[in-house]
Amino acid sequence: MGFISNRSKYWLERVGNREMVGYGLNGLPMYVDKPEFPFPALRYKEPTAEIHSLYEKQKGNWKLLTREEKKALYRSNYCQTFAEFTAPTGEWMKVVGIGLIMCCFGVWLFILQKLFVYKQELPISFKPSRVRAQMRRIIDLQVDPIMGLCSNWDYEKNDWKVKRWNTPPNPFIRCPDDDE
Amino acid sequence: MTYKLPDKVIREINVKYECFFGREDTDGWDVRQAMNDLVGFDSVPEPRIIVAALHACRRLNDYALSVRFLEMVKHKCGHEVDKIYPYIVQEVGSTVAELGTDFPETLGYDKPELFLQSVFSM
Repeated sequence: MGFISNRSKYWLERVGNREMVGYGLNGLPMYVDKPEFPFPALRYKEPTAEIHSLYEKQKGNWKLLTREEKKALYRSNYCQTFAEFTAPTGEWMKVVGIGLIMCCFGVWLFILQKLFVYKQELPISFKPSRVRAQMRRIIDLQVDPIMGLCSNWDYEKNDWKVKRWNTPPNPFIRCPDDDE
Repeated sequence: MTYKLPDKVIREINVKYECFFGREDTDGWDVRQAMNDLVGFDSVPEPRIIVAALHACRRLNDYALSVRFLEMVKHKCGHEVDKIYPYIVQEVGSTVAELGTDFPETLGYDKPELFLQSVFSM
């Protein structure tokens, strides 16, 4: 708003009777409660006769103001206290909830895909004897011999170099179902 | 590693703000501008500056501004409110009692009093 002055009709419609007391957030005559700019450009409420009398009273000794008058002075200058506008809103629950609902939607897609898209009967190459045969072929071809799969296979021993929780069993051992 | 300004610069800034609040000819506009600048610094205002600012509020006859300023000081303490704020209360308490202002706790403003719907969710 660099080309509309602060006293233009646009702003005066919005400001009304309220006194412009400071630069505020960005120089515009707006009231905003922000912890980064706690002193806004306007007083919050429009002045009434009671507020004017309070303003006169605050020119004297502040100890003569009662607690209610002090609170009224604060509320006429400011909309919310620091505690009110920095209070937690609980919006995180809404965000987490919507995120989890999206995850559920994805899981539902997975379930429906397994039920209606894939055939219930797996192809023949999933049988354990066939898997072992494929493993034997991979080892014979020396796939990934430097850093990958066959670098972990010991060709002297005909077994894996190190057996961990995730190494498959030795595919060269003969099993009863190997002739299917 | 956090960057810290040299001590000399910090002392100059403190002196500058203390002198500014002590001036007799500044009006509400300038005082609020200086207070908004203080919020921008990554530090809690020194007790001397707080005292000078409260005297400036008294000179301007603006009670609400002093309460807002003290709320701002408490907010600037950040996570370490329990360590820093009692020290501030101890240092500044005598001025607060002398001028007749209040800490926000006395008015009951350390906890939220009203609930207003946020303008961003209307």
